[in-house]
Amino acid sequence: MDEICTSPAAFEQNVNENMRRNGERIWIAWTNKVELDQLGKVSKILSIGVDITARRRAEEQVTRLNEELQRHAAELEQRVIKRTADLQMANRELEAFSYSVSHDLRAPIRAISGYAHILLEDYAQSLGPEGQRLLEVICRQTGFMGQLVDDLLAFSRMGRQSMQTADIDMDGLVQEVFREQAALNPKQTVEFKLNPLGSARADRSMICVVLTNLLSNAFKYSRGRTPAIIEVGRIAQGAEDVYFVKDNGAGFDMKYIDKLFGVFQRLHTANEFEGTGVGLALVQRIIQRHGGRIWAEAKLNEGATVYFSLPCAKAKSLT
Amino acid sequence: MNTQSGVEIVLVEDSAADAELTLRALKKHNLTNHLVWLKDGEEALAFFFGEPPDSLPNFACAPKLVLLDLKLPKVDGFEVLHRLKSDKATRTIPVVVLTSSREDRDVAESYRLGANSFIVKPVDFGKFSDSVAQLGLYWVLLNQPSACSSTGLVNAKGNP
Repeated sequence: MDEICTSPAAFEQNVNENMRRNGERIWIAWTNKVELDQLGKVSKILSIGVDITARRRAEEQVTRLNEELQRHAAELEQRVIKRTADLQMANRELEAFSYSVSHDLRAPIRAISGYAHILLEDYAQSLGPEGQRLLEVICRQTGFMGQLVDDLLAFSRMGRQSMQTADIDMDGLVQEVFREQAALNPKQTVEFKLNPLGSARADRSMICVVLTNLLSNAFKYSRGRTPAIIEVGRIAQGAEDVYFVKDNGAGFDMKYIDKLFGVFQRLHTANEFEGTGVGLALVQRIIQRHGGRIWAEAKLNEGATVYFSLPCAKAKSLT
Repeated sequence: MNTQSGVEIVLVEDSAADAELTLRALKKHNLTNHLVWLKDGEEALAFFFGEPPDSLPNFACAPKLVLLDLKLPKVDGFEVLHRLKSDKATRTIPVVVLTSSREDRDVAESYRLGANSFIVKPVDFGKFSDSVAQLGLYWVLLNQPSACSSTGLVNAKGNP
């Protein structure tokens, strides 16, 4: 009581836990007013209590939630660190794997192909026609296997290669790639329609791989057409530029569209059209690395159009 | 000792199959008369810098071409390349890295160490033969090597 007399302000506010008659515990915030008599002794204390149980519980909950949040954040950070390490390890393993594929798998294939060819060159007479045919099959198949391994390596390398973006003259690049493909397919008569493409901001060597694959497909699948018609163009669509490569070739049934961009997935037999099924998977990977999209439309025996988008040069420079 | 009796091509290759295929391709163009085949990096170092085993021919003139595989037992191709290119006596010998690897880092490392060329062995035998034959014809017949530098080479057993 003496303390109240000397510093009444210190006792003006207090909070304590109380028990109701029914046993329920409640928290009350008190505001107290002390009245002193003439002698300076406490004569009355006027107290007003407010039930703050709900507020207190809410506060406690906020504190608890905050603590939990902090714990989760720390856990999350740990998980990110661990995942990153796992990913780095997986990447290193993949790298080691493709390295050993390139070294160790190519060598025996080369040996099989080489010795089979030697046999064919030096002992064709004693083998007879059927023996020669069988050996030719071995030679062809080892050649194909070598191509598969090389394509797969190119695919894995593409995922790891660092990107060097620059402004690319798309018209010039397409013309260059088209000339190359035309030279590789001298017997084919192709009507080439090139619409203005403008420039793009991307990795030139990667886009060159994209165009080479798409144009080489266009040549390949329109082989039987006279004339084969190949068209390349661009559709501007807001923040992205959509390019397309269209042919009037074999096309494919749209019900197999899901398989089109998968690794080793083919929609034609090797007898109809040769290939390893890596080309479009590689193209998709490159476009995705550029932040673009890729899709296709086709009709069986009427041709196919492959579209890909790249974020447009202007939109990209703003970000 | 004249160039005719010396070694023109040194093939450093651990795979017997690859060596046979390489020899066959070179033989078609009569390029194997002065060829030495070394089976690992240690043999290569002994050939160039040490006392070579008696079974190996010695040479007075620098070879016109070293065909070097990278993945070799004991001492790898990079080490051999490094030694060849950092020694005054051997640094002008053309070294062509001929390997299965297409890894960018191998290509970069080879050139950093001073390789004169980097060729990936094609899996297809036809292409492989063509590559090897072209290499041999270019470096042995077409290319003008640096003047015969017999003096600096350690294992010129004949005339110093």
